[in-house]
Amino acid sequence: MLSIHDLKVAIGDKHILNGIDLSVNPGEIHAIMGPNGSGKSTLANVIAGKLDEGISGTVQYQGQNLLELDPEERARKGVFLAFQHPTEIPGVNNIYLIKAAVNAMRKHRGQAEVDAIDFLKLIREKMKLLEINESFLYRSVNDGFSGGEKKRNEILQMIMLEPQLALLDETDSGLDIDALKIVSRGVNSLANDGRSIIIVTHFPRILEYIVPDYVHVLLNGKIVHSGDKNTAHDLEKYGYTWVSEKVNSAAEAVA
Amino acid sequence: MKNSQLTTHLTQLSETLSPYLPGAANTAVANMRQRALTRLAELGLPKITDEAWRYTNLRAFDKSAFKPIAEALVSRCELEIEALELPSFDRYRIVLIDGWVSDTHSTIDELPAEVECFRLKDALEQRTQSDIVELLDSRVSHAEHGFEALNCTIAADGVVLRLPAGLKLDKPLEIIHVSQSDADARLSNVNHFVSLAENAKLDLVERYVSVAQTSHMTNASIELNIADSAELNHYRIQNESRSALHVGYATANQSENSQYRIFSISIGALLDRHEVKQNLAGELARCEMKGLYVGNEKQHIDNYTTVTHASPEASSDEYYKGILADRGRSVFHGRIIVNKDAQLTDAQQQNRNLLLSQDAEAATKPQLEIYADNVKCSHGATVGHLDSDAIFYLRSRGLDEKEARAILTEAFATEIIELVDLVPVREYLFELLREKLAEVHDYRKAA
Repeated sequence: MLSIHDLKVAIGDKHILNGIDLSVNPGEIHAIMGPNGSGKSTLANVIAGKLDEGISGTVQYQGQNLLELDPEERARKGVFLAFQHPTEIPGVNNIYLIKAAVNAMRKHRGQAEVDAIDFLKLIREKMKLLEINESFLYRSVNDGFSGGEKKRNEILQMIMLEPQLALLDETDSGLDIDALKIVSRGVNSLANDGRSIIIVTHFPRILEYIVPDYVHVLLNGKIVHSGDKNTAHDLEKYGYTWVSEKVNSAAEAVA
Repeated sequence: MKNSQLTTHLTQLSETLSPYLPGAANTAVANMRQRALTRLAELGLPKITDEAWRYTNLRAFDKSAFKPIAEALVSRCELEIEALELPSFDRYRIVLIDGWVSDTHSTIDELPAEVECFRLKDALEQRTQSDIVELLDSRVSHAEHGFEALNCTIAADGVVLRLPAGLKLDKPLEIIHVSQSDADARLSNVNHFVSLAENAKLDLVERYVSVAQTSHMTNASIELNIADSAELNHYRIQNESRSALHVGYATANQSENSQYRIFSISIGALLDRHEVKQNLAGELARCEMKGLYVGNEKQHIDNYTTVTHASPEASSDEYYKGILADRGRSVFHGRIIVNKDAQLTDAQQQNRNLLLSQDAEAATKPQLEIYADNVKCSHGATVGHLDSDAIFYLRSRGLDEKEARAILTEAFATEIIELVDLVPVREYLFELLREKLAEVHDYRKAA
């Protein structure tokens, strides 16, 4: 599904990512954890296409060079980013955007535009799952939404667009425990054998509800440790210092 | 032609025309015309050295060429009015062609009997309507530039409408101004007078359209008198030929507790100057002024607004938004005057501009003159580009860049259009906007 090799990103003189290697297969759920400033969001932005300068290394998605594609082409080929800070767009109806997005995907697949009634039926069903009020649809995209509403809206869009590769950039931040459970339910409803999910977070809690196959620890722009879901528990117990110490001692051992 | 020569030319023109204009035999009318002519000679036509016209240059037009046409020469039969109608819009209709009311296309006689409605032409010819001449006389006295004086000196036709106390007109009244000229240089000169007595209510739609893309001129005035507790919703939509010169004035006088709402929409014309002169004469009067202008190619749109708070506790809420593309230019001048006695005034003003290309320009100038000490006044102006985060957000959802820009540009204008309560008018505005944006959505020159 996704294969990242020696990915480096610099913004000006600042090196944000220092050689990331990551391989994600269909059906897998990966978590990328790391403290603030470790480069997690940059990685998500590179994959979604928000950043297109200062990049070296390769990112292959379904056998193609992802970095060559425009953001909209990536989206149409099944890449979805749930934003950490979803943009407010006054004057554009939420339902209008979601429908336009669904139709853009359908057009790419050579399908006709979605039937208005089918669409409404489906979106209402998904909204029920996410415990979202109907009025949500007719408000402007994220405009005046609370933090939790914005995150739910991202997940609603994700479920409606049925991506192949879903990236969740700190979707859990700012959510209370009830909202976290609802959002996780939404994400889990999407998980299947053909779909890959990458959860970017710095809190292990969300991983209790969305159980990852792999957990990677990102520090200073590099994946310093990869393990199974228990890594999250270790992090909860010992914190990120534990990993950095472990990394340092490993480095010393090599030296 | 120099301005002085031009003024001489126009003076000669109005002298030549006056025997053929309505009310030639009426001394009061003749005197008014003569006074307006003198005023025209004094003022001259606007030039960029005039503070109020500093950003609007009329150089592109050969103003000496514009001439009104005699009513007898207006060819009515060719007008396909159906093509200009708004779908499923149930209203009373008055049509003007090249500045003359067309009786055949108008439905004045369908108005309720209590409503007084007649042509200005008839008012000028009948001595019984002397108050109309007084109104014109007063406009001459207050004329601030030559176009206004010209508008009075050759006043010929328009609509005089009076709603009696308590009458809430059951349907909107639509006035469609059609420029039918198949040749360039025709001048449509229009004067409307609308008054609402106490507690009356009216939805008034004014549309300005051209049948052909000729270089014609419109010089149109509407004077509105809104008595105590009356309510007037005014939708003014200018979509004339892209070669036209459009000059318009809406002058409103509001009494106690009255309410006036104007939508000033500019889509067409090569140069559009629209002036709103708002006088909040009565206590607790409320006015809302909403504007939307969209200019592309070499269009120039100038909104010049003045709100005078003359009484306490009145409120004004002004919000103009503009979209400029290609080499489009706009000017917004928002003047708010709060008189000494107008305590507890609430005056708000906002002007926001969206520039879609590097060559587009927007000039914005708030001007607050506050003489009372207990007031709430605020103003703000912005000139900006589309939000790149929003563009990326839409692209990340699969919409291409052009589509994303189109959606965001439309959304910018939607904020004004969705305030329009009359559904057929609102739909029409969305349609006009989309057509116009389809034209300007070549973003190659975008910043």
